[in-house]
Amino acid sequence: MIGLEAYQRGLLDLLKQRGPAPADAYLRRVADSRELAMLRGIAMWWRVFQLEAQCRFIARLLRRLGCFDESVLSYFNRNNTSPFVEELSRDFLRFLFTHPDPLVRSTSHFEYALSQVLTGSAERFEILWDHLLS
Amino acid sequence: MASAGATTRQRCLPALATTYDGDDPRLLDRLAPLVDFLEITPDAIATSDVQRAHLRPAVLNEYAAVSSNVRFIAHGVGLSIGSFDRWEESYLHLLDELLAHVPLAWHSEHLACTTVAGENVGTMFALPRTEEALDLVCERVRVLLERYRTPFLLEHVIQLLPDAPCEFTPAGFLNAITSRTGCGLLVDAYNLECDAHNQGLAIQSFLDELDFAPVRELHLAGGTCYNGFRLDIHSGLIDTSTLALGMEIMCRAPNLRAVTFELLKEAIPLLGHDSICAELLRLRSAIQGAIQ
Repeated sequence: MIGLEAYQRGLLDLLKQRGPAPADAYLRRVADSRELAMLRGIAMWWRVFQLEAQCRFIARLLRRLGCFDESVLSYFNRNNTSPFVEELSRDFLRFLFTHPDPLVRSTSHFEYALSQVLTGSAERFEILWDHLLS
Repeated sequence: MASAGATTRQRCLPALATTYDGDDPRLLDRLAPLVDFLEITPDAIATSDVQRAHLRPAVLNEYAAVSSNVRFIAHGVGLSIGSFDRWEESYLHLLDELLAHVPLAWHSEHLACTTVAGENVGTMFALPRTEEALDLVCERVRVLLERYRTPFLLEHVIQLLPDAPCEFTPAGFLNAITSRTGCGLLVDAYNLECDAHNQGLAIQSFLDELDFAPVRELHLAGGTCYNGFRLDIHSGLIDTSTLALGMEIMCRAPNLRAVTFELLKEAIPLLGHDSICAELLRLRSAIQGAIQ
């Protein structure tokens, strides 16, 4: 019988596609299951839904670049994502600050600054926009 | 329909409830005359700044505006009562804040885990039905009952992943929790249908084994099927089969206080106010028809 801690840590690792293959027989069965794929899909769908509604500029850009879902998945798998949409959005934008594409970096900085100002921040932001719009 | 016995026919009708998580005052105006309770999800009406989460004052004001017409119950998502290490104290802060503004007839949570070692899961894990999980949950329920002195209910969640090795049947686990702690139970008819579809749960056997005395609330919802799975997304109206199952549960539960039409906030624009209100009227009529 698998212990509660091993069960929950094991499921989280499987959900987030990280860590070595599980040694426990039950977790191995979950790892190969279509149910796990469905659960991952549900978790991802919610993050995509929330981020698309909250981070409109970056979501639209990433969709145009064909990498929105992949970016959200990467963010979800590598981070402790907040259940609160404001924190989720802020952290996702910060996650993109180091994106290899300079336009994605600039846009995420811009949208982050905009969200901060809209929520009352008095901070001054400067965005380096290394991109010629055509 | 199961035979409910003479006591069922003499009892009061359960109240009618529905979810309302703010930001749609026109809908609230229409809901208030139709229902007895509004069910509030504290997590869904919260916002988070850098320091901590708190409830949005605008939504609390909406509740205050209808408080002479309806009563309130809370149904949490983020307590994570089954996490191996700790529950989410931040959820209890939200509940405290809600209680400071709105009197609650009772509050409820999912029998699940939403954080693991402080990391948010992004979904819910059902608990393995083991003695270890039972001990952990029962101790936390005792703390909640002591802290709030308000009835507390647990809701069974759908088991999407393959069932873990266990020491209890699904109903036996719920019976053990309620008998050890004295907490109430929230039965979700649609969740049972999801488990029947996805896991082969024998609903009638589950109902025959379940102790119905602690059942205080019944959830009814509509969802969707996707990739062969039935999902508890609460995005639709109540299927005929779900309503029939719900009425059977209602007749078996002598202490049932409320029947709740559970609806995701995001689904409201898809369904529209008219169909939500019509669904509540249909539900009220079904309750009256089943009890009388």
